[in-house]
Amino acid sequence: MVRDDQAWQTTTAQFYGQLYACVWQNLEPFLGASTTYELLSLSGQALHEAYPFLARLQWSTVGLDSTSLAQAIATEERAHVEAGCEQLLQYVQGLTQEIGGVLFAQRLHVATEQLRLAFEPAFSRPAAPEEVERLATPVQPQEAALPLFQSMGQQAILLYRRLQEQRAATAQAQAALQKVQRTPPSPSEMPQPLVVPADLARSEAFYHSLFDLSPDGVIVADINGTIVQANPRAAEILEFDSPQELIGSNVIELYVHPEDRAVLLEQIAQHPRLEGRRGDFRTRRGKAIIVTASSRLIDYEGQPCLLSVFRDITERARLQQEMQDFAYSASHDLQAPLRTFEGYARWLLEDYGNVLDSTGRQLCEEIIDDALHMKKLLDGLLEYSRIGRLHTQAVAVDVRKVLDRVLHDLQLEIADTGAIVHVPESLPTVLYPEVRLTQIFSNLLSNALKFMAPGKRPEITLGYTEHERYYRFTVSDNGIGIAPEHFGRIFEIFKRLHTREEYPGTGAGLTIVKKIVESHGGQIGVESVPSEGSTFWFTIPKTEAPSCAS
Amino acid sequence: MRQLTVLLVEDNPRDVRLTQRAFKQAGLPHDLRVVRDGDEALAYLHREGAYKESETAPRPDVILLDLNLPRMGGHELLRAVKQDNRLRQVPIIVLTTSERPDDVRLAYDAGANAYLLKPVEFSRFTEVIGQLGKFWLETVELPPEG
Repeated sequence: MVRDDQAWQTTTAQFYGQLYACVWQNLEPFLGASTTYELLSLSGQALHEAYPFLARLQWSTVGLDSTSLAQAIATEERAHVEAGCEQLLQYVQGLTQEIGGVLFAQRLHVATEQLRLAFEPAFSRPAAPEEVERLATPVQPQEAALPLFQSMGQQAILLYRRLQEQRAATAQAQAALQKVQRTPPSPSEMPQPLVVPADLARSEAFYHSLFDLSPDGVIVADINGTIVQANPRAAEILEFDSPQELIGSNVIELYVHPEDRAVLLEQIAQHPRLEGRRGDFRTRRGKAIIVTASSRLIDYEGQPCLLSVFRDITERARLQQEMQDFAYSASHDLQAPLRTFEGYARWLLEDYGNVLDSTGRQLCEEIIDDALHMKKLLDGLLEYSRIGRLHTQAVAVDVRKVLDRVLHDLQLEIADTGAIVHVPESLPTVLYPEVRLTQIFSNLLSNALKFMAPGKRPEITLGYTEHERYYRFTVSDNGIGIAPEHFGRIFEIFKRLHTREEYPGTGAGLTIVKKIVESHGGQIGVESVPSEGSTFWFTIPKTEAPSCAS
Repeated sequence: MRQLTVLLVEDNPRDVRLTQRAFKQAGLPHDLRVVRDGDEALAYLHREGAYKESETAPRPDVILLDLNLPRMGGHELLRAVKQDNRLRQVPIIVLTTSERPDDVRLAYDAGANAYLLKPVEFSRFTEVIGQLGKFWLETVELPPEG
């Protein structure tokens, strides 16, 4: 084999040096130095047999020693080096995906492909530019997720090591078996070709560990309800001593309402994936529990079975119920005296108005006024406690229809103030509970109409922008505006910046809007310049966010 | 002219007063009888104890029932009346401040004929009483006596 001139080695060492440095920089902030080191050196080890030069690479907890790369390839052939280096990259890519998920791996992929493109001209792959273009830079993992990533990374490395040990043991056992049987090896017993990391990590051992470690219960039951597989957490939730004890028993015996099982089967026949369904169960010791479960129909050892992953939410449901009861009784019990205040003060005015002087009558008026105001406060509190709890079904809603209705309801206020309202030409259709979306716009628009600057014709502009994952809506006015130091305060319940005489209201509206927006996976905020106007914005995710269990 | 005989089951004396005033202001001929809780209501309806004489306990055309009662609660009384063959014909209108969906559901499940929310504003309360009185006095055909 004729060797290329030495120039390729310099370029190759430079390129892969940079490439692995780039890999390092992408992984290390998320996985931590030691896990990243393990991930890279383990990947190298897995390929030693096929590409011995990889064994000569020196990894440390700050990345690859680039001189070791130059030395390692000094006596190798170009095609072999490039294939080995690419295999290593793929291996790392596969493990990264197992540890951090598709988005995380994609992020790494984009980074390395960009580097490839930037490195003129030798290492650009023909299909790469479009591919990099197609893969928009994924969202950065959040700071808060870092510890999770790091621990997942460590777990994955641990599992990987165990898996390798297991494979070695299996290989030994097979070899021994072959000797005894003296039969030609079957294809599965042939020496394994190069192991692709994704397959490796996806292997049964990996998933078995996940199954055992899962903080959620997992159960596989056949169509008749017989449990064929269960994990330790499922046994724990259902108060069985072990998964083995659970296997063989019938899941229908655990239902509080056995007919629910038939309903579930019927639904799963129509939608093969059911998410976040709430169910009432009874544990083996008779304790009533509430779970939220996701189920799908799977093929388990040749027969159709129902795989369910479930979480015990009994305590959460109890607290929610308590909260709901509290809000209702508070509202109910506090209303009774209010009726007396209002009714008696009115009575005094009607029957004894002639014996009261003007101050006496004024005081009665004020009692009435405050009683009615307090009724509104109670209504606000009740409404606030209801959001996210009552079943409000997300449906495809035409935002224009919602706005038309809201503007129709506000037509009196609009006419009174002479306001001009600009509505965009086109508006999207979103997945949202219609009544909640109406509440959001109704609150924001009536605020815009209410807090108008004296002597200025109110002008309200509605707008929206479409983003990859969400829609962002804005309601802008030219009203009195809000000082930046109050931006947070206005979203707190019953917090007001003005007296009721200046601007009527309870101070619950924006709190309710914020809770609605956030309970549907969106965000809300305000931008404002005092005496120039305010813009309230909120977002609606394009896919329905997991809604609160109710 | 016919008058509407109403049995009001209400423990709060102030609410009783306001209800009496609302009936008066609504201007409908009525005979409003008041009991303070479920036990008293059953005694009235069965003409027991203090209600032995038919003059002290005329059979009501409708029962106005507050849910939040001491001792035997509103829901319980509702069930007791609706399960009693001699009493079940008497329409029961729940009149309460509770908006709790469970209360509404339970009341209708037990056979309530209507569920009304007491407005805080007295003028609106008078309106509700007026509509209710007019409906049961003039619009509907009530079950025959006996």
